[in-house]
Amino acid sequence: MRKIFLISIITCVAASAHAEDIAVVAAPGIAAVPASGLDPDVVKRLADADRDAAAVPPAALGPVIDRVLVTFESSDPFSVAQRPAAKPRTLAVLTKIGERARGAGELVIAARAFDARWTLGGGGHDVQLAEVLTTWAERDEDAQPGRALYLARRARTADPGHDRAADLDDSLSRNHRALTGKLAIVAGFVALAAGIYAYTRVSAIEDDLKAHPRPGADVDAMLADRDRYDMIGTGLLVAAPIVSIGGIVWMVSGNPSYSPVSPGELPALVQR
Amino acid sequence: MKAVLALLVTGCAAQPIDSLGIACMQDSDCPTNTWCDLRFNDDVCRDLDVIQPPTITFDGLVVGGAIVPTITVPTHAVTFHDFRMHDLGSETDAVITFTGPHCVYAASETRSDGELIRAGDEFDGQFTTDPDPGCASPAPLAIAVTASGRSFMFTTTIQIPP
Repeated sequence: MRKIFLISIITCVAASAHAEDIAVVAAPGIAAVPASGLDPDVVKRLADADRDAAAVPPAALGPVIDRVLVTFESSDPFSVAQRPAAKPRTLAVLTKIGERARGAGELVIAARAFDARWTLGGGGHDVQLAEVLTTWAERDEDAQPGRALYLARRARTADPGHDRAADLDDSLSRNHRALTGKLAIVAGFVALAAGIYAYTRVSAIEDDLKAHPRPGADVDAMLADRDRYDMIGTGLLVAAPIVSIGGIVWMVSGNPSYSPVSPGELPALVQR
Repeated sequence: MKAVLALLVTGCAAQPIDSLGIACMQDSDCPTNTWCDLRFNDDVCRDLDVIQPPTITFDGLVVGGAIVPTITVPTHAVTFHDFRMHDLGSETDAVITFTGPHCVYAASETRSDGELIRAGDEFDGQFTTDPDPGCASPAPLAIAVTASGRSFMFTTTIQIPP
């Protein structure tokens, strides 16, 4: 009996957390959701943002994005409750901002707008975001490869079929010296084998010279061959470890020394 | 770096010519700047920069320990006379023969299988004469030395009283 009572109390308390109204002792009830679905302030903010998205210079569209996303970045129940109603217009404004910024070459602002739209939209397929992020990544590839890698991978997530994003991701993730390094290592072993073979030829010629007399001209020719094999063999045996070790060092030095780093502007929307 | 370059240029597996033991039967079987060493049945090429071939020189006839330009030998008697040689090259066995006009009957008294002549040392040997009376005087003597396949020819003269 007592257990049933306690369960009933807990259930009631839990249910009250999702109630339409917030009850404050000795105060009139506070609505947790506007009756129309959107608070007038939110409606005005979105309207202003929509207007600014078309009027404000593209380079100054960053604060407009911030204003648009207030409802989605605030964790109070009132804002959270309005998110579903505010979402369609917010997506439209973000699209307008993104397209305008992109057209003006404001990559970062466009990326923020599209990225926020992508997050709000549930992370589906977004070709525009992928395109902007890829362009940004390509711009920063040399100066900030870690950032470029993050952008390329995010673009690839937004549009798995984006070839440039995939190529950039693969390029930045791959050791570009691996193949040449491996070739150098193999070349070192080949040089070692060739050097040993050349030395066996030296020994064979010397053994032949000891075996029986022959005209001096023939001896001179054989000695010239022997010296040639000796020089080549020595060169190969000296070069073999240098080439192999150099290949290893070259390959190891080619490992990416960076990891994906997100720029301060992304992700554009962090929902609480 | 210089050592590595030198190593690359010269190689390091090849043995020096002198220790290689290139088989030969005569100097023409050997590469440049070497000679065929037939001493003591080695029969291999030697580097001239390491060891010189035997080089026999004839100092002359010896009387009382001194070199003299000629000697007078009696007729009707076998007499022994001294001569002196030098080896300016490497140690070798040398076969020495004396040849003169038939009436002189000159002959070497050295070992027929070769006398050991040490490098740089002098070698004193003997030869005999038994000239017939009336043999032309002075009489020339040809001295042939064969050492390590090399031949050295010398001449001297002796006086024969009438």
